[in-house]
Amino acid sequence: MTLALALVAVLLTAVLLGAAWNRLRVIGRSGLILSCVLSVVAAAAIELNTLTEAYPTAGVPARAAAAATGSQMLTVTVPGRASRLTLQMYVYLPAAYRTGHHRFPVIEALHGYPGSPKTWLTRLHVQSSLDQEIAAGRMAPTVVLFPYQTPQHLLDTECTNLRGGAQAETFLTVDVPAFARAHYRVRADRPAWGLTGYSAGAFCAINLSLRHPAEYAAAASMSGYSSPGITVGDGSEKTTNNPGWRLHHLPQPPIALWLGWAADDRESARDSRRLAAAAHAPLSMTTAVVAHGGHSDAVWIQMEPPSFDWLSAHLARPLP
Amino acid sequence: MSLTGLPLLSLSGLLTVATAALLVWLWRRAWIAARVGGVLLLEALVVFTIGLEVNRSQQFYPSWQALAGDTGTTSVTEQVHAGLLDEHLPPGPFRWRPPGLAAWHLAGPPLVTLPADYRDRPRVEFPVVLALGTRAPRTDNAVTVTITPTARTTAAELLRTLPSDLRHDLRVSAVGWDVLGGRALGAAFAAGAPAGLAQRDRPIGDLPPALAAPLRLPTS
Repeated sequence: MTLALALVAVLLTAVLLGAAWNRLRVIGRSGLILSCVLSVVAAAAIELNTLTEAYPTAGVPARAAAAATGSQMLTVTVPGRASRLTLQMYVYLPAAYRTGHHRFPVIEALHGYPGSPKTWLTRLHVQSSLDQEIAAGRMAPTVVLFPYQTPQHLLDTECTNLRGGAQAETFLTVDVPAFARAHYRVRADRPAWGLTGYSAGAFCAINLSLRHPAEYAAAASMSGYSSPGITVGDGSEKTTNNPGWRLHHLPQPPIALWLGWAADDRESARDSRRLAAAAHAPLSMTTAVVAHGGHSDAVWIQMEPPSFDWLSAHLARPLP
Repeated sequence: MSLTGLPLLSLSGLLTVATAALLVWLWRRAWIAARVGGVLLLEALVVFTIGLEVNRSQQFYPSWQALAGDTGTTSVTEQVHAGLLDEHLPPGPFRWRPPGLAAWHLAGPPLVTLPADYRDRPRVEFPVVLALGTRAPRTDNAVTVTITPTARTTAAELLRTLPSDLRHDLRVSAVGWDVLGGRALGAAFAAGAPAGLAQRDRPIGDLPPALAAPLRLPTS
């Protein structure tokens, strides 16, 4: 809709430029050229935002909340007491949540950069993907959390505690779990908690699981990296916030990792292969490769169901 | 022509420059429709060229195929293979006599207890509780195998054949086994097992769920 408006503006400014040129002086002509440029930039920016969901429009897609049966996608605000970050989060409740009194396993799903958790909902169709895997019995009913990872849209935290800045790691590993335990019927114990993510979120999933093996039992990475690619402020991007370094220099924790990548996604493929090669017991490593697709939605849509199936098989079951 | 190659980027850049030059040169003589068309073409080329360059440096879509959303890969639904014993299962707990049994040097054949719904869910693999010389807790969520080791029982010999024999005979999962008791033998079994296969003395509630065969992608 917004894109259509911008395209109309592009067309109108071009017509005006062509038609009114002869009747205008320098100022008018410059103004028209400027408006042409602006309209094109606006259209491109709107399309980019649609691709990344960096600045998502508010609200959850229609199918989510309304239905009286089936799964639900809720929008909540998590007041982060430990991190002092107050951020939005989407919460997937499986269909089985409505009936019975089970406590469910939990997966925290992290988004890429630039982006927002909305990408999972709109571009990666995560709700129908989860519904389908659970209905087929390939995945146990699971509560899935989609938190924001940054207080500013274009601030890249890579889920770390930035020195003197946003405490994203604390928000994701302390505040979000505490909120989920307080508000939903979820299991509180480590064997039932897992992480997943795509792109920067995949880095986050690997890094956080290695850093918090007492909180998470398993993590899946879709097109992830072995280093954060940002400056954390304390140099830890080279060491303790660098999974490549951690696997080589620290004892490996007893967690399960799933690394997936597209063979033609050069950087992620190289990093993922390096991580997979460095893994040894008690850490268990599973890999998955799609032939091509680069670093794109198509790859993550393809990887979503297999990675969720794998995660469920490595997490504790729902408890009555 | 490759999506991320220099030829396409150069061509697009040259076309942009040429269009801009032509548009300026012919502007005064051109009809309004031609002017408008020229402006729109130039704008499209500029956006296209910038897009190509960004994609070339970031490699979001390394090929036309990737741009079209084609991953050239299909996820495969693995098959749950019926256990060899599935057809003639006795009603209650039974003594299991697999091919590897003799080499385990047990006091007797292992005792196997199945979940109540094992027979009703033929497309599902169940988690495993392996009790080594200890009483297995009653559970309806797992296939329980109770063995009575002797002094001659080694973890290496158990690991060599027990997991594969059990997966051959019954529908059990290949990860997340719960190994109960057995002291040194249990420790050696868990330590020697492939990563992810076995954990020692976890609560029954921590077992993974019984699941249908997963969707899988090719491994590296």
